[in-house]
Amino acid sequence: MSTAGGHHPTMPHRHDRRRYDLLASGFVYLATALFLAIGALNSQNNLLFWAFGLAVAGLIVSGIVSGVPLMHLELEREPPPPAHVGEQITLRYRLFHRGRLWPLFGLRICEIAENQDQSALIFSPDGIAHIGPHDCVRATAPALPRMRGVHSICTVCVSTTFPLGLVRRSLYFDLPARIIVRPAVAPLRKEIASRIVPGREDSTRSLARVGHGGDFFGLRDYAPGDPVRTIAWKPSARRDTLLVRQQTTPAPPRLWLRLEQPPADISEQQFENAVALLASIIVHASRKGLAPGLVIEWADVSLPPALSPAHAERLLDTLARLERRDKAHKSRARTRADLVVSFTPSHEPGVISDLDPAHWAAEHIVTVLPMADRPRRTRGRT
Amino acid sequence: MNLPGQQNRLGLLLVLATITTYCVADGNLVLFALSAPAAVAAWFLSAPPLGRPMPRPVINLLLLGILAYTLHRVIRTGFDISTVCEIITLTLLVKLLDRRSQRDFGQVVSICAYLGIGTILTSNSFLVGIMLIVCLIILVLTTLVYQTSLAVTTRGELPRRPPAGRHAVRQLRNLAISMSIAGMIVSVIVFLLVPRRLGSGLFGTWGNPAAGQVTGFADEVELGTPGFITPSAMPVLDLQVFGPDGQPLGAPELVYYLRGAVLDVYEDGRWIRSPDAFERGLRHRINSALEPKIIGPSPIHWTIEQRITLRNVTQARSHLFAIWRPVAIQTLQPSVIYAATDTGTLLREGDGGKFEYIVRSRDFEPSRSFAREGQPAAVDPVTAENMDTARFIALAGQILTNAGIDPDAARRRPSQIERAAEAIARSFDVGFEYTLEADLVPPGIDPTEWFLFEHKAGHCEYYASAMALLCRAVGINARVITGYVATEFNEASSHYVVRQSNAHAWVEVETAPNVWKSYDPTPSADFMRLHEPSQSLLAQARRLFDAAEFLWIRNVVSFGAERQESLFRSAFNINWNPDRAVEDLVRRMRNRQPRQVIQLVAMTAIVSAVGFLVVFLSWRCRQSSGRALRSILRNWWLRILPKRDAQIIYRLFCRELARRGVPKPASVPLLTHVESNAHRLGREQALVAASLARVLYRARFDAPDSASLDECIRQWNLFSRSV
Repeated sequence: MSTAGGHHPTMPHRHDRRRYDLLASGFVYLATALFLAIGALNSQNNLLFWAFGLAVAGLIVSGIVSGVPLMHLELEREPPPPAHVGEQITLRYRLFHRGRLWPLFGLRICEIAENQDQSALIFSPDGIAHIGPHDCVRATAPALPRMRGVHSICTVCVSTTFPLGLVRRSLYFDLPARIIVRPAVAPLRKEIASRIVPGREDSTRSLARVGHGGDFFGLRDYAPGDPVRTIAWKPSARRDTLLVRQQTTPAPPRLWLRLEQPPADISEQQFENAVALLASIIVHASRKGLAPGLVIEWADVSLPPALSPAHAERLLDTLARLERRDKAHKSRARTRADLVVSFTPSHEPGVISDLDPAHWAAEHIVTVLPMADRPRRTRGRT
Repeated sequence: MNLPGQQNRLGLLLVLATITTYCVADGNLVLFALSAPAAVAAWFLSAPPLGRPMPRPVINLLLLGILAYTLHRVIRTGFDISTVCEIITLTLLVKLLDRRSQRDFGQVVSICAYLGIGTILTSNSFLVGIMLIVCLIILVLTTLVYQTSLAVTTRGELPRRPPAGRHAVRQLRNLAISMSIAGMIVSVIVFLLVPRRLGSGLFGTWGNPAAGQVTGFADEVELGTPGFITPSAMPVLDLQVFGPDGQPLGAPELVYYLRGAVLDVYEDGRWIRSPDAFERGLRHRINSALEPKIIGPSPIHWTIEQRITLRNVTQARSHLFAIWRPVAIQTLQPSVIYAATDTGTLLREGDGGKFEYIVRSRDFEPSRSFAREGQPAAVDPVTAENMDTARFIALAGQILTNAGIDPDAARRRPSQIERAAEAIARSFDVGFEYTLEADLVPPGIDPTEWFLFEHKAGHCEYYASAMALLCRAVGINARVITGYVATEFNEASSHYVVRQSNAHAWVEVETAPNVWKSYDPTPSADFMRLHEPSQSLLAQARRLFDAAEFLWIRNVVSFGAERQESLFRSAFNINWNPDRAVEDLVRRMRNRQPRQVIQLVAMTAIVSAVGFLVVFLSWRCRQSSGRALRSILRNWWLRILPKRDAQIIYRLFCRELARRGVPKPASVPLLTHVESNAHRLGREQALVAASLARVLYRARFDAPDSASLDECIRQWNLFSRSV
């Protein structure tokens, strides 16, 4: 996640602009007030004069009660978490009411996406019932990412129609931020998952750090509690002190993944499905204890295998930023991949190739990224 | 914060309060008995989680039923405010059955608000005013809760306990109360400022409160029927009595007879007004009450002034009430007044509802010489088809003979007329019983004869009729007066409350030509029993309520242009009469030449445009102009401070840094803090801030002189202007 703009994202921020919209109920209210005024002047009925006075008072008091405290509102948005396509994320806010006297009621908070990201992210507004003077309230607003990529969110709008519902007063806070939307991830089908196995040379590798592997790492002084069978007797005899043998850490089995360059004749949807499939394989491999590595030569991506949650997220972030039109700036040595996601129909062992993600993953992906150019498949069909 | 629970409770309370208020205003007990339980039932039938809204087809059928009922009512009784309010009430009940989402709840609140407006148009009584204020507070609270819950509503459903800050309920309640109080204050200011009389009657009678005849008063007395004598305690009018010096004259032991109708013709048991009564009188059209209109004989010497407020009168011609003999009248509302100078009868035509007027009367007749004026003409005994006139003549003669007065009118001295009338009036003290029960008069006999010679029991109309007939039987001119007696003096408000039960009938006897004196033949013991105010706890409480209602009527309902003008003159010493200003403007416009009118219009347009431009630019540049103003004031303040110290600018600088999102910790030096937060402030701001920090250091530690301070102020202005 990165931020842009001049405002620090973790500091409470005052509004940048505000707006007032007269609602339909406000029009009705004004018409009723006019009606009362005409009736009062026509009939000289003093209770109608009083009712007209109340209508005017409603306008004035409504403006003061909601307009004045709203000016003392400050907002802070927490950094948006990374998201996956089709999985709802929660944007978190903290609202500070710096006013001393009037409380705030009935606030509605929502994100306003930039024009190009309106269809990529769907934001739902959230409501806050009350913020007292000198009080701080946390709020959350759900968002549903619909497209992979790095999307910008810019403005947070806090609005209220309190107290009488005549005018909507909105405050706009410019808090630019980016949301990384990773590809959709879904559990793989058993027959596909069974193909995800480490390469043949993986059993002989080990890492150069202390562990429980089979290779010798070194010797150290005996410490009380060390198993007796780990004592290296001969070196101990030579040094005249007890020494303990240390083993190396066995290296996790590695899984090199490659995404082939998409041909020009496939659709964007098919490309997205392939990326989603790759992301699902990465997550699946990480859960199985494999160290996934990713190589995409045509996009200048080469991330060696490692087994850690951070590494898996790095791979997914790379996939999130991957664009079909990316080009390599320099040539790399071609790495032999264990699993290739190809766009060419093939049934060779070790090569996964099918253009329909429903064939590989669960229905979840199909739901998020429906295939527009072919009939929807039923679950379980191969 | 249990928003759904509060919303439900307040909503139900609002519905019941508005329905009750309207039914009280309209006096419609049937509607209340039907709609209040129906509203409660509908509320619980449609309230989640147990209840469900009615299906749409049923709702549509009910709406069609309301439409049919509306057409029926409009065709049958016309389009009046009562019909409109009934339709609003029925629509509210249907809407209660159709609550599916939060939006529907908002519509219920809106309908309640419109029912409140209908209630205002229905009645302007004090009780309704109090109930409306209560409804207003509930309406404000309900609206606040609704608007609060609207923000946290998702897909039309309200979460049970939405997130809220501390003390939410308490602060919401306080806000509602403060909003209500502030709204009341603003509405009172608007109420006082809005010009009266401006635009009156432009759209007919629209907006007038529904009026009804609560006086139960008629131009005739028909014996043998209950008449207008009723034990109802409903107030009819309020009376204040003043002397010529402006001092109030009312007292608990003083009783005033307020004359209404003067009935001088007796036909078949009915006392009616003579047909040519108003041809003999004067007719005044009084559009405004700048000066009292003289309606009596001149020269005018009045001794008693009555300020009377009729609570509710019809739009048709109706009686006004006054103490004998009215000589001048002043009304505070446009109306047509008919005044008969010989009988002192006053009639009015105008808008219905409350009517306020001032009558000045002369409650004594000037001393006259009977030798000069002569004696009143003798009248013939009244004859009727079923009446035995001889019995009346015999009885009256016997009464006068017993009193030592000659029954023969020709031989009787004029000075004996008063004694004779008094003797006849007191002849009913023994042997007669006062009762409000209207027994059936046997057929073929005159009701007065039946009362006088056989039944000997009846109410004041019988007594008055019998005395008038007996007086006429011995040649004394007499007439029956119907009106009210003011006996209930409210010491809290120094005014008399006259109720329907105070309706009374008595007799006036002509003691000299065109000189009439009142006599009350009703036995004084019965009169006191009937009209003496009760001293019970309930009656005392009612008197307090009456005092408050009198103040409400006098200060709110009757607040007019004159009172508005006098209020502003006494409070602010200004003449507040915009209606006259408009009239003057119109008159001047009419008198001017077209060229001058065009010039005036053009000048007005230019001034308006310039004013609009100034307001618009001020609004657009309000932030920058406000900032500039603040800067000027701050500089001025810094320069006039007796102790000019850089520490003040240091504090201002720290405050501004905190406002811009980089508060300075106490442990970090200023320059270090500014430099370390340069990336947050931005390049230009950071440079200016660092420069200011250095200057501040210099002014404080190196050269604390005036030049350094001026440099501080200059740098501070630069920083405060940098964005």
